[in-house]
Amino acid sequence: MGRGKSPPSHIPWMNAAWKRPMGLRSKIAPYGFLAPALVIIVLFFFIPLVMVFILSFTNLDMTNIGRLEWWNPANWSLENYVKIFTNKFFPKILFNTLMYVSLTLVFFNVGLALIVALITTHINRRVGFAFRVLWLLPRITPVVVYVMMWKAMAGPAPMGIINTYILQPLGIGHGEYLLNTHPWVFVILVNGFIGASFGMILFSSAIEAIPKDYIMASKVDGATTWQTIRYVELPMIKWPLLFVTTYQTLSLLTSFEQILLLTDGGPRLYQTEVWALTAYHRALTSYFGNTQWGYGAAWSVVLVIIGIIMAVIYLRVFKFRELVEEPRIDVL
Amino acid sequence: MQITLEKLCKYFGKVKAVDNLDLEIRDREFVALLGPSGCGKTTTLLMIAGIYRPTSGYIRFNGQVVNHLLPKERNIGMVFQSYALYPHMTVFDNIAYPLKLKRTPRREIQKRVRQVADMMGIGELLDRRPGQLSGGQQQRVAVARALVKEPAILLFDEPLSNLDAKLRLRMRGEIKRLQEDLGVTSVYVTHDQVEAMTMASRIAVMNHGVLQAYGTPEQLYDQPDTIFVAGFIGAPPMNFIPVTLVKKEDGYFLEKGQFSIRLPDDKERLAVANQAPEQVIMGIRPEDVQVLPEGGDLQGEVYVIEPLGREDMVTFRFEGEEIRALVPAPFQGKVGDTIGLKLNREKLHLFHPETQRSLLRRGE
Amino acid sequence: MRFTFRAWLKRWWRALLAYVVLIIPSLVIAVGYVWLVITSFSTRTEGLRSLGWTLQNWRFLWESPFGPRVPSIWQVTLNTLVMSLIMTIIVVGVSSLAGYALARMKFPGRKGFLSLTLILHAFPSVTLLIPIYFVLLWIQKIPVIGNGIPLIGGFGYNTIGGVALVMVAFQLPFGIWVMKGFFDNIPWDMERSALIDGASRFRVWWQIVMPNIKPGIAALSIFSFLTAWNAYLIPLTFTSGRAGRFSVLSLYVQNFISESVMTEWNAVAAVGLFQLIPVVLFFLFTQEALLSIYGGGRKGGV
Repeated sequence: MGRGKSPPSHIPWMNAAWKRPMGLRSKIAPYGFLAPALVIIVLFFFIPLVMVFILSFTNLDMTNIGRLEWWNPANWSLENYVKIFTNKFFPKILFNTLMYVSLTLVFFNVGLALIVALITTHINRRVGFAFRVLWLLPRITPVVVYVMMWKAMAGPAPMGIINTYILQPLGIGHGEYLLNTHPWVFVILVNGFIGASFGMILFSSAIEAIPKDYIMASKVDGATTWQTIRYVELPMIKWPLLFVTTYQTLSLLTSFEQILLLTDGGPRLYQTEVWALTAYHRALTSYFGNTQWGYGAAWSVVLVIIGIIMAVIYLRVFKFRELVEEPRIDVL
Repeated sequence: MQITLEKLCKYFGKVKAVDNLDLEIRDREFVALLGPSGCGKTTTLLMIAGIYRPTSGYIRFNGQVVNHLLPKERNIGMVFQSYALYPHMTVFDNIAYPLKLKRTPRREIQKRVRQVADMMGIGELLDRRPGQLSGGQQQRVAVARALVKEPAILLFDEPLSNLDAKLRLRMRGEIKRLQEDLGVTSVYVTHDQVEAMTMASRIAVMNHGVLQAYGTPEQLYDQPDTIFVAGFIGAPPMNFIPVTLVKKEDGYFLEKGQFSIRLPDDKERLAVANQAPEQVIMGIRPEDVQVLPEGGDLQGEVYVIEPLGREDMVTFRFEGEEIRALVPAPFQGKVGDTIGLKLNREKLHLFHPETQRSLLRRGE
Repeated sequence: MRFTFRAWLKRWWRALLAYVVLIIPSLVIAVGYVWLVITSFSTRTEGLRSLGWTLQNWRFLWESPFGPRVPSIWQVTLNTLVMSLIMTIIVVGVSSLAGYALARMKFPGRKGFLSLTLILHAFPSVTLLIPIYFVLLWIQKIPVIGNGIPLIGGFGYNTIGGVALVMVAFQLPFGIWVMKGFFDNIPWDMERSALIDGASRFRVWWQIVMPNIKPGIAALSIFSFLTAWNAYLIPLTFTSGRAGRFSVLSLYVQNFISESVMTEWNAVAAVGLFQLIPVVLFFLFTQEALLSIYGGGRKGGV
């Protein structure tokens, strides 16, 4: 049938014998729309996912690339995993990671985010908005520049800001480079300020979305602002709270870019080394002498598994109900 | 174009939106699909348009099955409740869009768009954007867009719901006149029975996806087939009072407590033919209830008086039931008064309490 | 409630506390940027005090501080710009197509794909850096696309295109999700009308729906562009190094920061500010669009 042409209705133009299947083209159209995304996802998620698992069972590294048939099951073994668990620094890395994640999460990504969100939504609207804009800056600043700012703040006197303006006047310390003496404080601060902005945005939207009627009713009932917050607003943002907590936990577990730039796991041996950073160091740098793809992959696999589990949790618990409203056009 | 719906069914998952619908719309006819929200009328309309695919059943245009045809192949124009104008295009481009898609030559587009715009009285608005138009103007643009491709079928999905009352009144007449002039088969979905009654030549009443009745406005008004239809058509709605049908020597009587009236002979015959049970539901429209200075079929106690301007609607109570009557304004009684009411025997309706069907049906 | 001095003081005190709690961390953030600006124009800085104003730190704009074999700042900026633009265009394009199909079309596997998008959105892509390295190596072996395109060098390892492609992949689940949210707000009747008027589904997407999604497109474009402009880890991992031909701004800045942390702070600050200024400008002018990205996912549809 001609494209787009419709014969006038008085001509018997539909013979009973002729019946076209409901447009083959319309059946494959959706897949056409999805194709570019599918290609990219297969190339950069599926294939790598399979590969990282396989690689973790091999001892592929820079010395045997090209010679080792890593896809051949004969070359597979659990050697890497054994190496991980028997590694001298394994407990330290594990401890670092857990400490890093929990402290940053509690104090900044959720804690400070919530506080800032609550305060900025209860003061003058424009001022609150201005503050939130300010808090977005760490997230949109190039990470190299951002870390550099912190290094300057932590610098030794008389250059470093914290030393010069806060510690020395109070007589604390000797004006030394704070990254060397207290690296963990800064690791948490640096990541915390970035992380807080995510929660802050989500929490403030959620708080502002609470129907004003509840707030007014609470005030009429005689509650102070703090009581309103505690008994009315906080319970109503339970979902965003839960979401941010779990999402940021995963984020923190797997992020290491800032730590890489700030301390690179140092200054003392493995002092601020977290799990994700170790994986990176082993596989993609010659930090330990030789780039060991297989071994590094094994370290990654642990994170990958955690990532998959948490991602599935999100799916079930958080968003699934929202997403599946059926389309209201059957055709095409 | 004649439209036939044959055993049409539509399921959304487990929910049955349209259940075994059989309907025939003649060429050049204006049919209304009437019913409350969620009754399946819009779903039916969208199936005719080709947007929804029927779960089972057939749709035929002039006898040929069209289930498999895409919307653009069905030569249909449709006017949506929200007008669905394209906000990023001018009025001209909106109306011209169907023609552009058919690759009509530019000059012809110009001619036809202007023609239709003038017909709809929006000739000066062609350069504006939908956002700059009033509701009534937007609606005319929507109609113009539906008409410009000279479709064989016109579909309307509650087009007047978003207009204010006065505008609605005017547009009703205009749309009806338009359809008569153009002679295009039209299907009009609405939940407003006044619209359906005034505009359509036949009305299909639907509820819960099932066709309740299909007939001319007069048929539906005078001889409603079910309680649902009787109560839906006509405003203010019909009164329904459960009464007892008693056979006495001189005929059949409808009785409730003190109330007793004799059923006219013709109705008696029909009731017997339809095997009327003892307990029936009597239906009488408020306009057929008369207020008498004295006497009457029953004594009602005034409960509520609602002035409507030309008439007053008074709700009476008797024997534990309520009955509404339309009386010429001003009504002389006050709340609490006991007043006599007379029911017009010719306008009595009887319904079966379980099947809900009329007991005065003729033939089957 | 009786008005007493104590009650009034309490309220005042509370408000003050709130402001203090808010201002202190905010100050911390603000101080960093102030330092950056001051330092970039000073010979030396002690804390926030400049010891002498100068433009010497900005020398890198006209002479390369590392010698002729290392690309100049302009080459690097161009690389970054090209990479960011490619990445943005691809992300927006692919996300719009996929997002539309997922939001508005019926097909088997729709639910599965939606779940997949969500899972990927939450998945830490960073864990896949190692195998992606190999994927890029393979792509490099493909003729022309791998390594031969002028300006960007292709799409394989150690090319601008390759870096852009990886960034696209990491941003895609988010992009699809955002676009889907915006598509959900288009009234169904508008699409139905277009279909009845005679448009194909692709036309409906391109001529009717996309023009009405402009805020979403803008938000995603800005967000993606900024992400690419600021990127460090991915360019670092997938190009041959900080002094390479395909270096980007973040790598270039990092060049200045050697192991012994205290050298050349003022010059570094200048380069850092150079990278930061476009971001801040962009951000100041488009805040509402950016913030709408998190909110653009309301349920809609008639």
